[in-house]
Amino acid sequence: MSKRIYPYPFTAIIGQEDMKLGLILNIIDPKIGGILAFGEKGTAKSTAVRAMAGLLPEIDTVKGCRYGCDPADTSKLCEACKDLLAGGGVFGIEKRPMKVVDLPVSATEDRVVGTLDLEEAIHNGKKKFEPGILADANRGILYVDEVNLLDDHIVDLLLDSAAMGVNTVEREGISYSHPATFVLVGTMNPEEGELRPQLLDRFGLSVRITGITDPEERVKIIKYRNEYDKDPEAFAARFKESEEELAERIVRARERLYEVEISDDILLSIAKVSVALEIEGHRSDLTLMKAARAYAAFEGRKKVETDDIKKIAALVYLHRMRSLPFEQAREFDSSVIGEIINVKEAAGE
Amino acid sequence: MSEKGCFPFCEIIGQNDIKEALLLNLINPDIGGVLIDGYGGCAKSLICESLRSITDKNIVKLPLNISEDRLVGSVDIEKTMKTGRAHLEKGVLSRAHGEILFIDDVSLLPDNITDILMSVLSTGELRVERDGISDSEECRLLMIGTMNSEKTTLRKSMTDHFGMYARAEKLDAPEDRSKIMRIRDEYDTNENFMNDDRLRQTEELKKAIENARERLKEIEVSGETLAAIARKVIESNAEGHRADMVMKEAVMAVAAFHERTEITEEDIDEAAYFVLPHRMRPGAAPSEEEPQPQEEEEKEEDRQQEEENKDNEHNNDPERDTGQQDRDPENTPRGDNDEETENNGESRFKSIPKAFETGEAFQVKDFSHEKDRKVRKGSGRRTQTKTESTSGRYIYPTMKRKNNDLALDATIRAAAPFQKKRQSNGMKIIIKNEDIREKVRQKKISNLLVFVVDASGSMGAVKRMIEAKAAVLSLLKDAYVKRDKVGMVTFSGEGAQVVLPPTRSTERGYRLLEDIKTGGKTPLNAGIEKGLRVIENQLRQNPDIMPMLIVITDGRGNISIDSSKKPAEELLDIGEMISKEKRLETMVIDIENNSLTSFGIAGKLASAMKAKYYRLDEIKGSQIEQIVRKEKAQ
Repeated sequence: MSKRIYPYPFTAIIGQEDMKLGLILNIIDPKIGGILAFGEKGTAKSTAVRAMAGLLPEIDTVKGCRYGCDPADTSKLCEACKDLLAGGGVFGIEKRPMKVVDLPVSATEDRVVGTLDLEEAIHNGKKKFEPGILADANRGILYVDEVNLLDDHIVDLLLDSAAMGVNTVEREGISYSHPATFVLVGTMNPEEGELRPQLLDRFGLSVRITGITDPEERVKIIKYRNEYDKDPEAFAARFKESEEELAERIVRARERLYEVEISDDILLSIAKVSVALEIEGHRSDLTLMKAARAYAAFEGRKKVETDDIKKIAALVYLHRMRSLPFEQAREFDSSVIGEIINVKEAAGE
Repeated sequence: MSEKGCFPFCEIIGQNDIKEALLLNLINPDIGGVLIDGYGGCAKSLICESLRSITDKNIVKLPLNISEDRLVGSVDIEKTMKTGRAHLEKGVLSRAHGEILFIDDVSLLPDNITDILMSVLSTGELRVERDGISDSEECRLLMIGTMNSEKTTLRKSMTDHFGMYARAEKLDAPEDRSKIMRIRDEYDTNENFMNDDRLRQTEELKKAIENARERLKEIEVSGETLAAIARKVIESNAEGHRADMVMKEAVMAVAAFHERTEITEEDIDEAAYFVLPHRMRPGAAPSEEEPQPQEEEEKEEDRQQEEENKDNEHNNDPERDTGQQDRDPENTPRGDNDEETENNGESRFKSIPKAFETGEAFQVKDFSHEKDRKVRKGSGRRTQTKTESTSGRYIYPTMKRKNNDLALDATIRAAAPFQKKRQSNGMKIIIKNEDIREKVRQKKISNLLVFVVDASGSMGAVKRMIEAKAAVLSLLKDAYVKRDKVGMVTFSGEGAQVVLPPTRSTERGYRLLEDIKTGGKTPLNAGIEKGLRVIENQLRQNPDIMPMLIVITDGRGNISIDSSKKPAEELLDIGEMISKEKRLETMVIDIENNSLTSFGIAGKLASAMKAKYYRLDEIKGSQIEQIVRKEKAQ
């Protein structure tokens, strides 16, 4: 009936291939670290993120756990799950789809990190932690529209928990920590102010989205949109097959992900690209490695190839080309990547 | 063995300085911690987390969202309500006593939290005086903090509380970088990451630390050594006396680290390498007293030679076995990509690295919009204001309900008189909705800085524009740190232009600054008027902002807006009008050369606007002045 039940199908989005690929790679390997989409209003940024919900696979969670802890990863458990395990309990397993959780730009600190449950405190004299948005986003996708407009203080809090994947709350008589690993997905319009470099670096990938210039494509976009608005159900049904096919492909890639081999030569190429582009820090290296692997898995291959690096590099380096606050921004030029790797190949062979 | 735990310390590649500083602190916690300074993604947080693998101490994390009551402890709601008596619930600092306090991004902590931390660190005592509770206990902290000095600054007085300073090295050899990728990925994907080999290494390092701790007890510091330490500290021009005391502890740890009980001269150099850099006065680095360049080169050669000779006995491979490396030649075959680290061998301690380098722009003196009584939203680092958010310092309780920010002390006080009459529900204290009090808080928020920059022909003379640009750049950098919004108006020729509409992007201001060209007449009046209009527009959109108009000029305006008025008279009229706008604050930076021919118009403008008035060199913050101001604040 409503759009909520039938989100716009991901496979019905026209163009924006980089953005779509970036989102898919992040579903395949959530450790890639999310994606930031730069672009003007009305370029299907938000639509793509919302549409992604339809593709999200089911994950195993500890049954009844508020934070959706992973029963297979005992190093990242919430306090209740830790207690259960320590007391000799066994986890029940519940399958849940990965979630997309919204972080509104106006969110307050207590809503983001969680706070004391006032009701409980006053009337029953109990200190109870009321989890916030970061708790909901654990093992899911945290989506921030207009991320550059986020209050600075909230950005600090996001950075704090993104660093180690744990949200530690010490406020209003509450002392609590719980796992908070999430895929950070943000959109922003650079004209409305820039994003602090620290947060910028936390996004694994980024894409620049521009409006589509081909008139035929544009007409198709309008048509699709109209059809969807008129009858979301029928529209969704039309794309059901392609949606299922893509979802299935993602699930397969997830299963095979760690079977994909990454040779030492590939790692060296990645390192050389980073050095040549004067990228500081190792986040970009790790991201490129993971994203290239996810891409190879998505393509059904067992080995990461040099071409995968070339394909993915633009997504990794676009937003990392500037490092200091008052340094001129350098533009990313994807042909450089090919050159760097080719030089290396020529010299190496 | 499926429990892999945290990333093992022994598997961190490179970053020897950071690792050594941390190990020295584990050996001797009296050093008081490390400030780790590194670029984003250099594994600073990971290294700190990995300490769990080699120490039994708790690592207590101090999150950025911490409230004051959780930091020092406060009234325990649950117990207080049940028993009817005030109970103290201990805070994070009590938990961290004798353990490790870890603050990721310490430079981002709110000022009120930093203030409390500093007072605890200097007295070694934690005093709780809040919410009707009074308590005091011993509190000794081994504090580990991380920051990125390229992007943020930490208050000088806070840096001094860190015993040591370690800066991340750049690992740019592709081989190192690929090694890092490989190991990190193995850790992420392999359930059996902690194989026997790795377990054994970790155990060995733990044992080495334990041995060093034992040895530490046997070390005695002679009067001679103390004198040498004092000389070293004086030489380095470090501030205060804390350096001497930390040096003593550090020197002992260094000797123990090298499996000795005797202290050598090199130990003092090595300790100084970690203890002194962040305490040196800016602009007074010892490098100035260092030998002439050519001597330096000779030395360098000597050093390299020495290095080669000693290579076998002094190999330094902390990747594997930082605790015991010096005596174990076999275990440390250096790869071929190690030229850089080689120089970091023993002699790397000879010169002290300079921390917090500043570029051409200078540190500007503190300035801020005056405090008032208005309640605002927002955040930032410039002006104190009352706030509706639940972060910030609790100043007093209020009956007004706004955001469920419970002030328990005041709530209980309000409920107290009615307790006899109310029906008990199992609690000792019965609280009704009408008793509830909330906290009024105060925190810092950012300002809107609108620069009105003179780009007229007279600015081209005598390099004035260069100086003016340096001043604006410095203010922009300051605005970046304090998270202000900035806008820029320039005036030259026939009129004024808004070159940068108000934005959070101070970087765009910087880029525009480069492009400003000088020339033509000086429509100063139009410039100020335009700046005022920009601010008025912003105030209409958001009445909460705290705007400041900063005029940078030599005051030689020669065009009026209304051609029937004389420029100088009109200027003073505008100034007076601005002085009546109470929401706005103004500052004039005068770049006119002080000479017999100077007109002093900028000064007159400032007094008409009731603005703060500075000559160009006066906006540079001086160290002494800042110290005095800090004193006053406390």
